[in-house]
Amino acid sequence: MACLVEPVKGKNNNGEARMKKKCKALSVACGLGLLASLPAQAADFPVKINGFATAGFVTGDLEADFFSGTDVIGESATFGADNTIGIQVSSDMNDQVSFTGQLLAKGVLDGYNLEAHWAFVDYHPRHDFSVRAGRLVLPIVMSSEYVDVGYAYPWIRPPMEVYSGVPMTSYSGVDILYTVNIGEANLVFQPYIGSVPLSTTAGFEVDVQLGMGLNTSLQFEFGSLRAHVLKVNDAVLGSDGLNLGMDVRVAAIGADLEIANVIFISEYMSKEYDYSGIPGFSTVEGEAWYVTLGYRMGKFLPHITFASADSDVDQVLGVNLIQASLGGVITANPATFAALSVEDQTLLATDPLAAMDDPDIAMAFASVLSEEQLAELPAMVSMADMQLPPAPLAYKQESITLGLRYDFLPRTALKFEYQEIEPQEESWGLFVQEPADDKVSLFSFAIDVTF
Amino acid sequence: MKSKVFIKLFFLSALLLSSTYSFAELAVIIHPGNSLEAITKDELKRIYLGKSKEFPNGLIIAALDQEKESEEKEKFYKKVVGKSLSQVSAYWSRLIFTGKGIPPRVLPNDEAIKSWVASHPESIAYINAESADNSIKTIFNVK
Repeated sequence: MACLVEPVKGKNNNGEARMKKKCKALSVACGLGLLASLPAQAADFPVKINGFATAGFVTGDLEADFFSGTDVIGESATFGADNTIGIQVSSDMNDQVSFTGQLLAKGVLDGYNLEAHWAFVDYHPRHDFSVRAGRLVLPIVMSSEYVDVGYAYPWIRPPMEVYSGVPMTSYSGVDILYTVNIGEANLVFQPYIGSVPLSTTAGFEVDVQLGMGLNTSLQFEFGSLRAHVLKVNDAVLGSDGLNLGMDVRVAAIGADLEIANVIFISEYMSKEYDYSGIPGFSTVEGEAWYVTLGYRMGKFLPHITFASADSDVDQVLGVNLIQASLGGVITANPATFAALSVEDQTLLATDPLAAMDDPDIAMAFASVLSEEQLAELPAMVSMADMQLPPAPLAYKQESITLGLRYDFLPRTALKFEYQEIEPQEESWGLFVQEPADDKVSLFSFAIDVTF
Repeated sequence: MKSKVFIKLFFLSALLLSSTYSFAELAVIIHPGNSLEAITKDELKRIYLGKSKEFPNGLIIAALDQEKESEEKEKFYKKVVGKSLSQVSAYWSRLIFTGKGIPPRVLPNDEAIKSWVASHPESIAYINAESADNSIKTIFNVK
């Protein structure tokens, strides 16, 4: 940068020309200087590299894995549950076309998961209009698109009651960003359409042929308000070979405001999983909300969050599902049922799990079940002790979180949280197994950086 | 013993962290060929948050920023944008990592910024008012 040290005089308007001229005289020193000033020089074709990382620790009376956002936090993984690193490269091909790619490595239950989180081409013929195509992230709730960038929000994990509601993240498709100025405010429309290629999210195999949505946000002096709707047809959310085909409808509204150091963040989401064709299941309707209040005191931000999720469905055990499924087969094939002995008929009605092990019953059903149904039976039996529909598709839970964010260095935040999670009524909440206590307490620490 | 040292260090660092802003006056500058003569604080705020992308005269804006987290930079964001530097970093991280926005280009010092502005008609920047000269045009002062 030696070349740039000389003060600019009014008569010389062109810094680059001046630098080159001087560099002739001091070729070696200025060669280095030119190299050092490359980022500034390459103004018309810059490659930007940005990144973010989180290192975390969670402890408490955690006896079962639980869903948090599109992740599963493991009871065994005290270190590493929240560990994340993301690297983003973006480049402008010209004034109207740019490319962005983001690689994301995350701690998961059995190690690390590396994925191309974002990879898209952005065509922006005007500064208020752009079309993006490639691999994008669903804007399901307010922080969904940057849910892995811990530095971007006050919590360690965004409120799981709302953020776990839909186990999908990246999609392949197209979105449009269109900004309208309304006085001092910006209204941004983000319609999108795409599919979710077969992938695993939060332990679920997800496969979506077609989904579409509209995200709208109003950004003004004190923050932003947003509303979003998403509709997905023929989604397959599978687990252990049991595929749950369904239509999904999600609607969410949110506010993120800061007025005189007081922070208010709140979201409400309603969702509907339409399991047409699965015996024993009706449509699952659920709603979830949270309210976060915080008070910024310089580098410190203490905050409190109340959250609740209520799937408006009587959850059933897997064993009831088997019973209902067998019941459907029996009704459809009265002759098969009548051919069974009275003992076997009683066994079917009272203990369907034991009935599945009975050779006579198994043989009778093998002749009337389709190959697909037969293939699903072992999975159904393995889910017999599970609560269905499983979390995170349906759950009832409340939680209170006390947190502190401390921005102790530039682009570095230290966070601490104490959380009490209470599954409601008969639900296991977002836990994979039934928790031993009515209330689960967690302490979490995390450090978030961005660069 | 150790805890006393720790407490002293804690207060010392608290003192350092809470250091007051520089008294230096800042000048918001543009290319001398830009027809704009003045700008409001609200408009500047919107430009530095990436919400406003056109000058009132229709020219597409390219804002510049100071690379170093100096007192001047802290003062500019506190007084004009109304946010601390960490709030600004968190704000931009939401836009950068969703591909929805790019923060202002950073340059290492007032000299580099001035020569950039002098050769780029679409640029806007802020520098220490003492560095301002006639290679650029001052349109706003942050006292």
